[in-house]
Amino acid sequence: MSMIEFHHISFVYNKKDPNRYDAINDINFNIEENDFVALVGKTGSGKSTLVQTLNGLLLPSKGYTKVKDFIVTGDKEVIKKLVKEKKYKKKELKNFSKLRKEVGMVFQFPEYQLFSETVLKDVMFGPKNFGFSEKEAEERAKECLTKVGLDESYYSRSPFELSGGEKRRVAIAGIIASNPSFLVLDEPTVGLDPNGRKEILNLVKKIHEEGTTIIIVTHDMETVMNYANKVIVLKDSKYLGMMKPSELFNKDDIESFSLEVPPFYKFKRLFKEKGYKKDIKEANDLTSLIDVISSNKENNK
Amino acid sequence: MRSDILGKYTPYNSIVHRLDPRFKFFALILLMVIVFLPFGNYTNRFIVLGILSLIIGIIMIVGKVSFKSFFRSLSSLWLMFIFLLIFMFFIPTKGEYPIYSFNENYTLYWDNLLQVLHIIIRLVLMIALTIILTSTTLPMDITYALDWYLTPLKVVKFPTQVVSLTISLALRFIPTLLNEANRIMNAQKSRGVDYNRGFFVAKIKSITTLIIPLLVSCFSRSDELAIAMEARGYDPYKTRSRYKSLHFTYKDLLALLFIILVAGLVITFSILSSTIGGFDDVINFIWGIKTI
Amino acid sequence: MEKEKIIEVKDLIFGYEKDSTILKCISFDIFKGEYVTLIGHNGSGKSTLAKLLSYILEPTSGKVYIEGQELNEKSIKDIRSKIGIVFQNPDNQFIGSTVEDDIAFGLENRNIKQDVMKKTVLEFAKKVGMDKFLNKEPEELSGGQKQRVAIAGILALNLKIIIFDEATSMLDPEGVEEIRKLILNMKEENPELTVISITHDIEEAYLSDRVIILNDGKVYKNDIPENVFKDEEEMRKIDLDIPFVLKIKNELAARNIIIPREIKTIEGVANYLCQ
Repeated sequence: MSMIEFHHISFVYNKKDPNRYDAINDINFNIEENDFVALVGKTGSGKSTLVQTLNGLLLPSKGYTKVKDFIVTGDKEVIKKLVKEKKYKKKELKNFSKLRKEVGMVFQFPEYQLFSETVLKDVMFGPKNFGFSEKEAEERAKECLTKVGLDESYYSRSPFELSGGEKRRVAIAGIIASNPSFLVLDEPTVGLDPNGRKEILNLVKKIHEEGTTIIIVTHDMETVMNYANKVIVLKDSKYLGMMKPSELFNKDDIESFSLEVPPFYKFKRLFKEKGYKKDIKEANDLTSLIDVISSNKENNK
Repeated sequence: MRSDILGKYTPYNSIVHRLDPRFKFFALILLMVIVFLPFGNYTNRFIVLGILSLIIGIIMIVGKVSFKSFFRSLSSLWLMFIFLLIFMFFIPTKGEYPIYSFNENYTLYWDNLLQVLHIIIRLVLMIALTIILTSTTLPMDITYALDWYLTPLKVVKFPTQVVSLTISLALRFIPTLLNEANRIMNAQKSRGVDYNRGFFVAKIKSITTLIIPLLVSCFSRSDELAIAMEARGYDPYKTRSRYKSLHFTYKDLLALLFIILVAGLVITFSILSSTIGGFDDVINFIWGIKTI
Repeated sequence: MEKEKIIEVKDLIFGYEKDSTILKCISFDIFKGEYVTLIGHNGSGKSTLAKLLSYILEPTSGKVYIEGQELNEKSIKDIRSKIGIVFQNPDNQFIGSTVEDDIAFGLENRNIKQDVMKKTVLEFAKKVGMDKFLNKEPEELSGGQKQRVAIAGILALNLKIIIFDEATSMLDPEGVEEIRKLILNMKEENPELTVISITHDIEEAYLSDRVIILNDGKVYKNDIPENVFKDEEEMRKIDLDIPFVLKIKNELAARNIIIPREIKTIEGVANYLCQ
């Protein structure tokens, strides 16, 4: 059984309005435990809407999202059916606090969630809401701050006087402190410089290695290539498929996905078009690609 | 995602949309005043309010104002309606038409109920008027109108341009800040905050998790905005030209005449009814003048 | 031929506190009509430098000259009429309530006549490809579109210098591409225009005329892109990557295939190799 199931879900904004907008349309796929999944697609393809159904911030207008044993849905028929079959009580389907402990969610510019007077208190806020005792929360908070690379000297500082990158790390610590089984990140690196980006992504990688399932929404194909083990493509509110990143970028019809292709694959593609068919298929890094090309060129001479 | 704000501007091209915002602003104030005039007894009041509701209703239809969003905005009035009713129940005033006498000192009158209804109708009309203005006029145009009305204050060195620019910036940033608030709330909900549950103390606590980050972001935004404005040569003490200007056309004149006519009639009626009495008396009085 | 200096930065030092300096004696010149990119990772002092150039901050010591005029309290108003800045956050520099109002904002500040303004707004909206969106509100636009509006608002003022202060760092890949192309078009159309772009985007830097790298508060490199990014190892040391085309060129050079300097795109390299 999969850990996360999207069961034919759709979500519509302004249902009965002239501005009606189908953010996601009949999306159906599963995510396995311990995956590191990247969710990609153009702005407006429905990525953010989709992930917000994972912890009940948005309820699918049709279908349901299943996370472990939790069901998230706003579809009255699904609710009726589940209640009728006595699998769930109506109350359970409306209360998401247990689910939210399981699914940590990092939004764009997460630094804007900080509000406490000290870093430590802010990180303890989530765990305390989810029923950890004061002592447990403090232990978790300290552990997570160490994990994101902030030492004891930060504990009693105000989160508002930190640098941009540090704030972001505090915010992430505040989410992993509740010990979620899933971590969802919605473009967590926007506005950071390349180093800041790497720091955050390496942190996410570390969290993944410790056994958390990661779902990351991103525009950055380098992130997809270097970190994710699977990539899911959305286009115009629809699901196009789930595959390995290298498989995606090697696709001949990658243009139809409306994605920004990493320069290496763009380069490789140019050679495919120029007739280098078989010999470069296996070349998945620059050096090996250039090896093939240069040796070919010499042979031609 | 587009935020759905009450009375938000709807980009239709009706006559009401095309009217000069200065006129619309004036008409709004005038009609609001009229709605709150005294008209003698209840029959008078409800007849006049009925006619005004009809006129306002027609303007709403012509201006393609969404009745749905209008009624949605009224939902909060229910609470007030009930509150007023209870209030009236416990503190009954003297009236003419008793409903039920509990004892000598405590009698309920129909008048109380009518009083509540009267207040509610007037509020509803006021809301309708405001929604007509905001949903048929761009915020920027409302600002221009306001600026025009403030012009006389320039004589006393009142910085009218600064005021109108500030208002238009505030209006411009409402949707941006609503989106931001939404994002912050989502982030806090994901950290286990429940904005719907809990009583007073818990509620205040959960609201601070929204307010503090929102303020922090507002400050940094306004900082950046000020720098951007300065970089584009903004100087509050210099005269600035206007990209848009308002045009008062014959249509506005006609509309103005119509509104003044309505207002004139209603005001006359109000004066007459306070000096002469009931609706019948007023009508008779007017007929009397005619026959003389 | 002597090129005309338009910006001269001389021994610039800046620190918020006395003992810790962010910029440690920086000097460089920028010439008229140049497209210069300023790069360096966070903490290198590049955003501070941007603020000093636009006089949002005041230098601790050292001077900045714009067209020979010293940048200070008195000259700032004069100099503002020569420099336009596109900032990082697309939302926080959108001042008007619609696209046309925003483009007009700077013109209004200069007290330009209404009929002239109407024409100018339309002309520059067209130049950045936003003429179909004139009465759209900011929430209806993408980040890239908002930045294009900001650029139109600056171009409309007919300025000599435009500074891009990390103008693409909050945009999606499409937006980044839009702005990159727009800058190059702008330069082609008006070669007199001086563009300074403060950026993390090394691919953009590669397309500029000259690259200045700041590291640890000092000018680390100041040269044409080919020379600046020549040594991959050296760039790694200061935590910078090199443009992809140069990576290809380096790999090929190691195998004795030399690609001419004029070829700057991967398409160009591929074509050259397949000749």
